[in-house]
Amino acid sequence: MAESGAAPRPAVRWDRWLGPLWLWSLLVVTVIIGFIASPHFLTTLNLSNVLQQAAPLVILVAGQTFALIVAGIDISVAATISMGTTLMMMVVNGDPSRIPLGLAAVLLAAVAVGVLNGAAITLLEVPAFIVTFGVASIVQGVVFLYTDQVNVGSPAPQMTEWGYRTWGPVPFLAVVALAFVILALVIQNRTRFGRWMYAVGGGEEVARLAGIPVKRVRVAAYVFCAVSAAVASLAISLRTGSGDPLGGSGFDWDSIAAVVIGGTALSGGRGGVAGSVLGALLLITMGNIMNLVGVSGFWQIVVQGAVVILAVTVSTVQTRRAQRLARTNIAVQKDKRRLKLRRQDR
Amino acid sequence: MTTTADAPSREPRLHEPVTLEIRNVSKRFGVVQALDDVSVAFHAGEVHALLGENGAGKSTLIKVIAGAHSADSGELWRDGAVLHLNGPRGSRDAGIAVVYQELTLLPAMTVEENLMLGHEPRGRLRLVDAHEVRRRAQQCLELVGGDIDPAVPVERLSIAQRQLVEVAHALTLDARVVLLDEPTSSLSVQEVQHLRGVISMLTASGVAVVLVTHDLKEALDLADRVTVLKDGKVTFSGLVSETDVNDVVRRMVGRDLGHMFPTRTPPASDAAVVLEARGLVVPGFVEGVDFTLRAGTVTGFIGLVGAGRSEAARALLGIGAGRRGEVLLDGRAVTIRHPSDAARLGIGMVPEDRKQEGLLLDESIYRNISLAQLDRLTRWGLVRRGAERALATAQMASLRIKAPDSTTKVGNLSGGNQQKVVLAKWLARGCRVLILDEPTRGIDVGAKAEIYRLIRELAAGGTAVMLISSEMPEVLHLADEVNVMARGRVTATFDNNDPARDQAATEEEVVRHALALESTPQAGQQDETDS
Ligand SMILES: Nc1ncnc2c1ncn2[C@@H]1O[C@H](COP(=O)(O)OP(=O)(O)OP(=O)(O)O)[C@@H](O)[C@H]1O
Ligand SMILES: [Mg+2]
Repeated sequence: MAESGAAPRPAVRWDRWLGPLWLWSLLVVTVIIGFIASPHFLTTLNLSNVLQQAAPLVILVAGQTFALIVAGIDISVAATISMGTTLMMMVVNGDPSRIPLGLAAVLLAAVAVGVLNGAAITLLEVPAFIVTFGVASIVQGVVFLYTDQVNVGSPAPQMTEWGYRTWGPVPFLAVVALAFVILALVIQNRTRFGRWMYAVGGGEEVARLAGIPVKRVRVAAYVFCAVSAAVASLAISLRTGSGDPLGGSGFDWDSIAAVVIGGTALSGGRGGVAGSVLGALLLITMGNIMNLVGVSGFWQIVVQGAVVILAVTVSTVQTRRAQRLARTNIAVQKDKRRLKLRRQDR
Repeated sequence: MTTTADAPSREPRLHEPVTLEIRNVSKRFGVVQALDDVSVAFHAGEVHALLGENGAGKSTLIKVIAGAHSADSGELWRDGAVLHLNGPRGSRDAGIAVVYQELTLLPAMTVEENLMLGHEPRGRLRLVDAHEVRRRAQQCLELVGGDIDPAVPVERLSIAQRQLVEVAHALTLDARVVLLDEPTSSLSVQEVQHLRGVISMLTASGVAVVLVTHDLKEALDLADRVTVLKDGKVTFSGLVSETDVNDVVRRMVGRDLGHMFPTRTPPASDAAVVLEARGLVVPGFVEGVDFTLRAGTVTGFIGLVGAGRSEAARALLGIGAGRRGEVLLDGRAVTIRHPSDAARLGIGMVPEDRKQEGLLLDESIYRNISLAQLDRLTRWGLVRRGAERALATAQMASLRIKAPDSTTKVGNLSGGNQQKVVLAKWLARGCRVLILDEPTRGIDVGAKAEIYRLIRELAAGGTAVMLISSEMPEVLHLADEVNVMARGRVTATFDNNDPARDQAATEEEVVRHALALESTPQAGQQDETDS
């Protein structure tokens, strides 16, 4: 065992902080294609615009990733976003002094949705897909009830100002998104809760035997997911003129697509926030390029579907290859060990 | 646990205080009374062997102590006070560490994440201290041996390495009672030796070690005290000096076993070659192996773990990346690309890794057994339920699978009985060539004898049996022909029915060839690796 003293491997798992390398490459390739395809793509104005557009989705995927890591899924995020924007607009309604009240209302409502999701999934033992599907419908229904299905309220002037503020090419919203992603990464990688999420998603019984409070971890993951939907909705309300009762539609599937592209398995216990953020950036960038080139929105949907399938195929193949390689390495190690044994015997 | 001194000389610690006492514990699962008024005391610094047939209740007892099951009645006492366990966490806080029979590691997480799971050390801002995690993980891994990198995901480890990680996990807890449920079932001889060192280190520091195993010799060798369970009841609990192997077996099984091994009727000397492998290569595992399997003959394969025996067998089934070589069936070359090709040709295999392969845990016993041969149980495209059940019931009887009936969910069976179901599944198929990879691992003495009889019966019926086993007596008693493998090659082959052979000499020769201590002429030429 002479080797074990030699330079220990670093204790940091860079893949969990930075995401899969191949997605970075794909993003670079996409940017190069954009550069070739349109002269307007690599301009400060356009890139700044892309970042602003991407912010809500990037914030949201951080939460959706947690739901997938604990082997669940959250369909209700779209309805939660609709709820968040309309609530904020209605409460503030042009009056800056009511902004804190609006923030509190949105966050509280989101926590309630998260607790509802988590409690129903863990206590009733109904699959997450069904529960969050039902909760999505309930929340959306409530939103229709209090908005009467029309756009409601208006932002305070300061809100709009922040929504469009940029420092050089860097938009305020992008900074918010980055900060939120870093928060999510720290929770995922550096807290007990983060590790426990992977354990719960990777094997519930194993987690239970290790003394992990499985149900609490699950509920917390859904609460974080709902809160990230709330923060995403706030980001949206900084850039719109009124609360749209269907403002969140589409965010459910977009966020799931981004997370899955990022390498988080639907079966849970693998992947992470970094990959999901790359997935979201990839989707938004591709959409932007296709817009610039003038590809129709319908084709964009088709392309998005193809990218999801491609990405999942690549990450499955990679995991399998890594496992095969590892098995060969084991044989080599064993051989070494036996050689050592023989030398001693002589 | 700072130093690994040489194994201290063990003297029975008769007067050590009781660390943990179980009083009148009962536990019932539906109609099965898994534990029936069980009382045992574990003393500080002792090795306490917990023995019993498959399904006797050993794992259930361990799970009750671990807080994974709650007992229907009874109490746990420690230091003169009742312990109220609140699930697994409570028992961990009470100084109890467990290595479960089933593998309880998360494949996608790294070794160190698994080791510290549920009790991650925290530093600044209550964040997990990655360096402390690494330090403690490395410390415990060094104790168990096996050269395991703490930063590697568990899915990249071999089964034996995973088992060592499980043991290391128990060491991370600084426990006063360590419960090991069949920790040696997938370890090689060397690794078992190392584990013994770990156990004596633990006992030397006053920890009570509870060991469940089906290797009675190992148990009586290691233990200071023995408790035998039968059908959930304690039939013996006392010092190892008060009992012996035969006595233990009687108390486990409720009868004398007689001979473990059936008498061998040698096959006809001109028995037809059914399968011949020529120049079999699996890169990294098997380096060019030739062998033949004859009708009515048991061909044994002995070697260390990793010698390439399983890989050679799997190559016959069409598994293994980059495999080459020729397989002849009845003298004709055949191509086998996939296990289904092998099945069509009548080649079947009971895999080594039964903890993971081959069982639908949520399905009943009979569905699991019939799965591999539904084609033969269907008429007009419909499964004949009666035939399916009859087949399962017959197999359950011959392997002594302990369960209320064939509709019991496999996931609710004891570990050993699950293994028997896998065996039954392949035995019921009836193959021309049957490959058995470690067929008795995790199986109790009574059932072992039964399986030995079955193997010889299959051979007598004309099947060509390939028997891979790490238990030397098993191979030497059952096989007609023995191949010794080391480092991906066959290093020796001999006829076990040769009356001129002497048993002791054979064993010694096998060990020498398995360790490849002596270069045989043909192996010597290719053996330039170490110089
Ligand atoms: N979760 C469960 N549900 C129903 N029955 C169970 C469950 N767990 C165990 N049993 C039953 O309890 C009995 C005792 O099982 P246990 O696992 O304790 O046996 P064991 O002594 O560990 O056997 P082995 O040597 O095969 O591991 C068995 O008959 C088993 O079928
Ligand atoms: Mg057991």
